[in-house]
Amino acid sequence: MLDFVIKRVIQVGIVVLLALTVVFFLIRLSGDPTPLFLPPDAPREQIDEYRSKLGFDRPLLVQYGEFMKNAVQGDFGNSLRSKEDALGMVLQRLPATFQLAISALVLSLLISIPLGVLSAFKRNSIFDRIAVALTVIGQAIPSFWFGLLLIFIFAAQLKVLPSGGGGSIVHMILPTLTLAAYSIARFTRFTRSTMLDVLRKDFIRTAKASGVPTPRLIARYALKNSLIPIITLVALDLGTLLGGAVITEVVFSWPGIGRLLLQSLLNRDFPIVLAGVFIIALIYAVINFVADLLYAFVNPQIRVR
Amino acid sequence: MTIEIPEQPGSSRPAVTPGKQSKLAFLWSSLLHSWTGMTGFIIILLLLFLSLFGQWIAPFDPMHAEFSKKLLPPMTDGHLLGTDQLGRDILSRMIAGARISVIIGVMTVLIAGTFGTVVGIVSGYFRGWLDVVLMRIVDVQLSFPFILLVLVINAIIGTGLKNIILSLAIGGWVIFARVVRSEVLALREKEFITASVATGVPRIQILFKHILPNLFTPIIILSSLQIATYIIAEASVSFLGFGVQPPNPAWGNMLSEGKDYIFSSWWLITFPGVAIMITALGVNFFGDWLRDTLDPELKGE
Amino acid sequence: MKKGYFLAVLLVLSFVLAACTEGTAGDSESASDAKGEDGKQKDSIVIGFESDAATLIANSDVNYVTDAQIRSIYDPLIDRDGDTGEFVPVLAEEWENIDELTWRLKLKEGVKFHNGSDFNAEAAKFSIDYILDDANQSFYKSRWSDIKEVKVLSDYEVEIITSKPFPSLIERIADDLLIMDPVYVNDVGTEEASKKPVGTGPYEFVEWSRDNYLKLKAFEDYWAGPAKIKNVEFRYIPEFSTRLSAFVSGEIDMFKNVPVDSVEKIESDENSKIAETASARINYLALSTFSDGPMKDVKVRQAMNHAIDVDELLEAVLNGHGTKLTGPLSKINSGYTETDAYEYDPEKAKELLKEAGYDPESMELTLDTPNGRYPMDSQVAQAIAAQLQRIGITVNVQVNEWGAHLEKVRNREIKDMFILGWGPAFDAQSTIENLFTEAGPYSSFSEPGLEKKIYETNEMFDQDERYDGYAEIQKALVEQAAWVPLWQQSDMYAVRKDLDFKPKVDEKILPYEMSWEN
Repeated sequence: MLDFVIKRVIQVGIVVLLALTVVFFLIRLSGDPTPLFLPPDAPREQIDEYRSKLGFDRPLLVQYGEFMKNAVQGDFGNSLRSKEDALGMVLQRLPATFQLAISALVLSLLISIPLGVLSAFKRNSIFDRIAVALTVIGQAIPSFWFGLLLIFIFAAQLKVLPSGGGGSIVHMILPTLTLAAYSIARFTRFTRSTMLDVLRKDFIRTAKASGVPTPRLIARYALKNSLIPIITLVALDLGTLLGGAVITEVVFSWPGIGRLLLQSLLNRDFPIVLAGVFIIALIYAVINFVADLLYAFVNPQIRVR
Repeated sequence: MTIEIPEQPGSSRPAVTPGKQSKLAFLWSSLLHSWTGMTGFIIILLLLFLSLFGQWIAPFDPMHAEFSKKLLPPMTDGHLLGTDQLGRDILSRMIAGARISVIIGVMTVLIAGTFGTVVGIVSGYFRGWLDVVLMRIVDVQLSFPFILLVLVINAIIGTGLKNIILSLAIGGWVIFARVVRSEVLALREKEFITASVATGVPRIQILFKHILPNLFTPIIILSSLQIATYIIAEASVSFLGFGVQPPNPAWGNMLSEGKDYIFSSWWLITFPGVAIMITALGVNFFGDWLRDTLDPELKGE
Repeated sequence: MKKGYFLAVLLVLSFVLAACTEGTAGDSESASDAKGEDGKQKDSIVIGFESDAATLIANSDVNYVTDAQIRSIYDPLIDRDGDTGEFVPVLAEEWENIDELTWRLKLKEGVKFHNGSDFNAEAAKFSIDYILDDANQSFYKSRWSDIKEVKVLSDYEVEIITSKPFPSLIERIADDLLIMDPVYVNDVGTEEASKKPVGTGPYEFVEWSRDNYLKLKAFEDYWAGPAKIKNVEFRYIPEFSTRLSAFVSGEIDMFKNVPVDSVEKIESDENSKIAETASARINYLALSTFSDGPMKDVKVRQAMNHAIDVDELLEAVLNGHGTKLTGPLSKINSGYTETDAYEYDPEKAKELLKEAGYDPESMELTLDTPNGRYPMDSQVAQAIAAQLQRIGITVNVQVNEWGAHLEKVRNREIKDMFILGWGPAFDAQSTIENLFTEAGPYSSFSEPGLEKKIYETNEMFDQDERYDGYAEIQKALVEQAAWVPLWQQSDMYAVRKDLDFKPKVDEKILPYEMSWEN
């Protein structure tokens, strides 16, 4: 077990370093950030001076070496736009992103597991068919479109919910719903198919035949056995909810990481983009790692891949 | 908007291929019995038809701006779905957009699929250090949310149709590599393969004769499901200011141009949104049906 | 088991709820709370912005979004009149020009910073030195690099010495400079000062949540009397449709940059109105002489001017929201002189093209435009393409993301034409030298003879000579058809009906000058 943990920690380290390397070189190709910050009337010498102050005029490999040396120590440099510590700015946004991701996750689970279970038990019923159709639709709606629709209805027309912004629990309702829509569909489908799988197993048939009441059958036997794959999927999706919330964050003015990253991409604020990539890759890797640990813990046959 | 990671690793699908004739007939009869599959099939046919013959069907030139007729609501002046902020016919633009969506979906799947498949085969079949390296690369990429990755790549290589396809493909190939690799790994252990290896059949020959034909089904299934993901991702990236740029009548682009009119002219954002939804719905329905039919082990029935 | 599952879920949920309410408490006073429905006078305002300020320290970021927000915290030495753009004294009471290299400013006495310290000549010197100090990496530095020294003559008198004649110094002071407290900044350091700003302005800092909001409250000891609106919140809403929704639902009281097609919607709402003014920012179609294309030929450029119907563009695309521009400068500009406009005359355009040796039918041009940077920019580009199509020219519109567009312009990679804006511009020099010389790529036009004339005029110190010099240049530029002038942007604000607000030509948004009508 310890072996497995150590090996995976090293692996996570390598993955994150590689991700940083790739993004470092690619982002330098995306263009020159200086004209976006300096006033338009800044003469060429000023721009060159500023570039050299930032070290952009040195050979790329030297810049890379420098960057890596500092990055390993947690220093990603200062934001070009605000001159604040880039990593600090990214970390500042983390709670908001987590808040949204976790509430979306909880909502998805609350809805999708009962829905998936029922759907599986009443297979081919009208209920099942509607549920299946809804899940496909849930996966087919572009989330920004859905989000704007919600804003249009609940904020602008009915005026019952705020259109966005970080803040109280009411501010969270619409973005959570938007972000959760896709996961709800995905989890429901998955729960349904996993349940169907379990239901075909012999011990369920035996239990059923020996007259175990349905609710007990679901809770005691079926759900218990389908929980592990569901946990794995949920863990994987948490990463997506965290990093992929950029659209929801923009639509609902949510002060999270995705929005910061998008803005920094548009501004070519390299240090922030790199710090953001670092954090997201790290979170992703850690979540995957925990999911694997959980999996290995519950299912001892699985060892190091 | 995430990559659909197939839940099961390599399947234990029976590796016998029925005769082509009977297989097609089997598929067709199965399609007739599945309303979702049929719906998906019809939607896809319609989409293909529009993208091939759209330019002759469209009532107006999708690029022609007629300022005096801007923002007409649907059903006025012969504009069935109204006009946009420059007075262009929305129906015609949507028809032209169908073609772009098909191009984006299909081209991305072709590029990402081909590349990912090659990597998956190399990795899974030849194993060794190459497998380790390739799979680490896949891991690196999977350590990043798909939509964010596409966004970053698109920001770096620039906007436009070609670049968005490229961005989506760069973001999407890993899923093919992963799935193909695990399929290959499962196939390697199959008796008919181990038997061939034991009798001394060259590896290349085994690859082409036994492995490749058996990869066809999972790849087709995955491709059909990925197309929907790509189409939605393109719209999302356009919404964020990258992606295909105006005046191109891509749906995502129409949405992102039309969203500012959500209060004044609802039709600008409604129709392209519905089109994307129906397309994704159709492709997903069809893909699900395909999976359920061709790969009974993967479905939950 | 089932019970346990639900319990667990409940537990998680309550944890999340607790986390939310704890983490971001204090956002309870939304705009609707401050509406004063209970008969009390409204004393709060929420202003929607597309993005947050880059930093809250003054004299650092040149972006309008940053400036518009921090201008309530800091005061300038000299400001501009909201209608005419003329200079008005603020913390500087008088200024005079001693000789070509020396300026003297007399400062206001009795002004206090929010932390109680006194405003004096040291503060003025410190604020200018802040820009010049390399360590601060101020984006303003290039504009101020001709300053040699700032001398404190007495507590309320400073002298600015420049290394070469700097006729536009007062412009720089008015448009860039805001006054910071040297004691405070030196005490807490720039990093802290850029998060918790202290100025002499009408509002003091309360709270800043990045990408979320900035809250200010009225400074009761403000030298010009305390503000009528006591609480100000700038709220950051990046997506326009969300911003509009927030306005319609009453979450925000005003925002800038209303797209022309939403004007009707806002005006039809009984609680809302549109406030509009012709901005000192101009939009234009640049014709690039920097690349080897047809635009190098003056006849082709003139043909473009004849072939593009600016009135139609204004009417059809901008719904009339914009003020037609005919030469290089807008009427607000102090150096403006009247020049002849090119008439819309497609036949003449065709003729000119033929004279230049081009057949319009076989001409193919590219037109680069940003998307969403200026009012209807990409739509205007598409409309221009349609107009040129009428005389047979094929125009490929290339829409760029803003950063890419700017870079293309700067790197002189644009082939034929592009759309860009410039401003707020009040003086002739900054516009003309940056737009029509070899060194300034923003219109990608230069002509050697004219260039010499421009640099000569820049150095002139006598105001009348200067004015005449620029007037001549403007005439020459029109003759040369240096570009296709489009319009002065119309700045449009969506505003609550009972808010007394007057838009300013220089894009500043000052809650101090606003009040609620009751």
